[in-house]
Amino acid sequence: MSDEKLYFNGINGASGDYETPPMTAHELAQVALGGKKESQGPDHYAPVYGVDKKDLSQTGWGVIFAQGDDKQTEALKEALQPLLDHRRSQAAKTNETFYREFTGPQAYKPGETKNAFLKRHKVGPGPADPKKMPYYLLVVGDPETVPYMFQYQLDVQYAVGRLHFETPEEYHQYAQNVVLAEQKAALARRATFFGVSNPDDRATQLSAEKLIKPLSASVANPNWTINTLTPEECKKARLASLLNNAAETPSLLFTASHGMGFPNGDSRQFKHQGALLCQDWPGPKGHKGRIPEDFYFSADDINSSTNLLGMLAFFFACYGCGTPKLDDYSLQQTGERPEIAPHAFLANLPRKMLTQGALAVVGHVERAWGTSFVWDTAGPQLAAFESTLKELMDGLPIGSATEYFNSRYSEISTMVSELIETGQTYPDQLNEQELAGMWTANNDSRSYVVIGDPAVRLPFVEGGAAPQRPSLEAVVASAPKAASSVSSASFVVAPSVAPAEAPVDVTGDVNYGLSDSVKQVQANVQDLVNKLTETLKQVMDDVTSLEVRTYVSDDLTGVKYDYTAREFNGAKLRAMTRISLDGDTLNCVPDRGGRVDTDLWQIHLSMVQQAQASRAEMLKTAMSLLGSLKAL
Amino acid sequence: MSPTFQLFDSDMAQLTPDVFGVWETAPSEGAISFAALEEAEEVPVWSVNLSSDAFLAAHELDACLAQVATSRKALTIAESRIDKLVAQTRSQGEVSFSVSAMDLPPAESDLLAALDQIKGGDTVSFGLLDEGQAALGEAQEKFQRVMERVAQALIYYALVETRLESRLVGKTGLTWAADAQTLWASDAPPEYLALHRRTLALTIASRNALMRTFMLTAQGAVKLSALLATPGGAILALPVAWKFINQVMAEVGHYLELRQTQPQGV
Repeated sequence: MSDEKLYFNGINGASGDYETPPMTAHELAQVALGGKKESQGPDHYAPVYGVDKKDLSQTGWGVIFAQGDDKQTEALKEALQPLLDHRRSQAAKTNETFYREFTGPQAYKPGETKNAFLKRHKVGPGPADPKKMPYYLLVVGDPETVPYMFQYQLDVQYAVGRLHFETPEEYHQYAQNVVLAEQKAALARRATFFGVSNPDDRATQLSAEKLIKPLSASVANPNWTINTLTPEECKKARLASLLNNAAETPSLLFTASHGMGFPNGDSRQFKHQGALLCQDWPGPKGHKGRIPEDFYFSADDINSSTNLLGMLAFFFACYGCGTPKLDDYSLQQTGERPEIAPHAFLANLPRKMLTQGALAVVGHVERAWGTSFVWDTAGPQLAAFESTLKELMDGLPIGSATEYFNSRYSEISTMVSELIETGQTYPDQLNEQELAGMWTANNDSRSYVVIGDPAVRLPFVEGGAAPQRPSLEAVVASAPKAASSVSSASFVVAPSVAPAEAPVDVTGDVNYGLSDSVKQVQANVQDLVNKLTETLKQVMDDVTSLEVRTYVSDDLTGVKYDYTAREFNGAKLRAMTRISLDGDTLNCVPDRGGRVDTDLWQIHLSMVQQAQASRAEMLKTAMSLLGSLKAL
Repeated sequence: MSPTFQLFDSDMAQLTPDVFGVWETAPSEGAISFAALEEAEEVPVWSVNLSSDAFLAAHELDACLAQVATSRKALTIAESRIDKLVAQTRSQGEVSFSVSAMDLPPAESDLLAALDQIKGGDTVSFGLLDEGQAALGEAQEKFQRVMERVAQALIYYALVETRLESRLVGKTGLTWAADAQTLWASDAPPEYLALHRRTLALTIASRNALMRTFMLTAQGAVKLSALLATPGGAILALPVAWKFINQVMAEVGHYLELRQTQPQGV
């Protein structure tokens, strides 16, 4: 049995260590053997015969909301109206039923499986038939309300994408961007490959050599300019320049790197999980401990004036598109699925890109695996990547271009089923190495998702025309103009802002009739809000362990509390517990006459339990406060 | 003896007579310097003095815990009242702070008047223009000072003391993130130690509620900013939202007090 270790993508931003420690095939096989059989998938992944996937009037297009809050659904629909109207005009051109809005009773029901959802709409397994269900389906909602599993499974046969933003303005901005891109953008055929290879890091060395290099060569096309950066060029500053500098921004971006991971509840988790760790990281031997933001590219590094209109991106990175709440890998081994996040969420970087003009981002939910592109002794296997990119470069919509990953998922799924059955029936025939590789590949291929409308595609320049990337029209929420029975947030389109223009200074020359004294108050309070936000962030960043100490004294009046050292001077320290973020626990137990002082220990334990509960509550509130302050 | 619940903090003592109707604020007994800091700063001391009858003392603490819980519920009520007011105002057809068009409770009327002042609009809801601006200025200044204090309190420790008829039985140094160093009297019976744990629970609940008040203030300000339609309106609405929330909490507290003093039954 091979002792060779399998290395997994993903770096823990708090510790600087690998998210998933390397393990042998045997160890991974033990995990897989406890797994459930995956059901066999269908062989064919496209709409029914004769449908042109580029023509929405043949494929159909639908949007799926979640049941629950009708007012919110109406608000989301209103925000997305430009996109919905645009898609309706395309999909319902010859048949009205080819455009569907799944709202109200038709919407996704909480906890519903893909099978139950489709059955409810009179659809069974098989190729997508637009007469029954549109092929392109946009899910609107967060992954707690509409789970990732629903998206994965629906995506097997349909072309599925998802949108979830924090504000209606962002939805409206994206909707506007898509329509603008499809009506007015004409981009140069330019693709950039960004492949990191961090020193002493096998995962990125593998992706640089076996994915980026051969893939960029395989999609070479006389009509396209392909720019493949060397690993040394793949630093954060370069990526920032590619995205924030319109002259450099490609129409198609493909990256391969580690994605940042953080401990459950870490203050940076929602903000930075999935951020792309660039060449700036000197590798596991060159840097220990917390990974600084200087090493990775996150949503924070995209300027508010950036214009990515029309771009499509593909991130090969752990958490690059999202994170589930529960660990996908522990169930079989431990019988439990520990939480890896307070709740499932989409990564911030692709969402930010979408509000700045990108049409869609393909990437991974949960951890990404090298088995995506290297298959055991068979070596690099890039067919799914190559075919997807080529279809994008041919102008196919992103939801259909990624079908190659869906079919790969289904194929691997059947192979895993077979191996598990073999392992359970004839244990001596089980090839653990094969099972381990197959299991990780199955998990990996299932978890590629599209963030954005699955029907978007690259808007190319045609003929000899000059490329055009129109300026984004910023969205500002305004008070409603007319009474309406529906939640009446209306959106005012601000005048176009050229990419180089600085954001408007609200305390500067813009005259909205505010008095000087009010402006001064505004500035003062803004300063305080900023200070409080920074204080909260600093405090939460410093929360790395929980420590509880118990002291005893015969005379409390003689005891002084030292705030700096956090100890009582003049009292006897009798018990201590320190619990680190990674769960490591240190206990110092009180003794009396050579035996454990159980009475005092029980008292101490009750204090530890109280502290744990309190911390959880305080952190939750603090995170909510931080979020609220940021919304100001 | 009557129990006392005191928060020794000089800044808070100037800003408010009590916290959630439970903790009476009082000036600190002396500045304490931190070696790690550039300036001497106060550490809040949350101190309770209870009856030596453990059962009675527990009852006193439970009553205060219930009161803090009520404050949390009051926060929820304040939030929903903001939502209702925003919806009601917008459904008028255009953003208007004309109070005469709506029948509103005093807290809502004051809030709209304050927003009107900020907007600098023609419609003045109550009283003279000068009075309205002065009230707004006072709310803004108070909010700034409270916010400064909370920002400082977050990174500092708190000290929590439990006394039974002035005899100290337990003391805990508490960080914001709940790290705790606790000192017990070696001869204290278990029920006394249980009382101190309750005191800790009350302190933590109070600090948490304070943080939630800020959170809802920020959220409320974002919602109210839709009525202002002014860049940076959410920032301007912060003190207004803060005042409104405190008014609602006082209303809820007064209502519960009345309920408790009403004769029960026939």
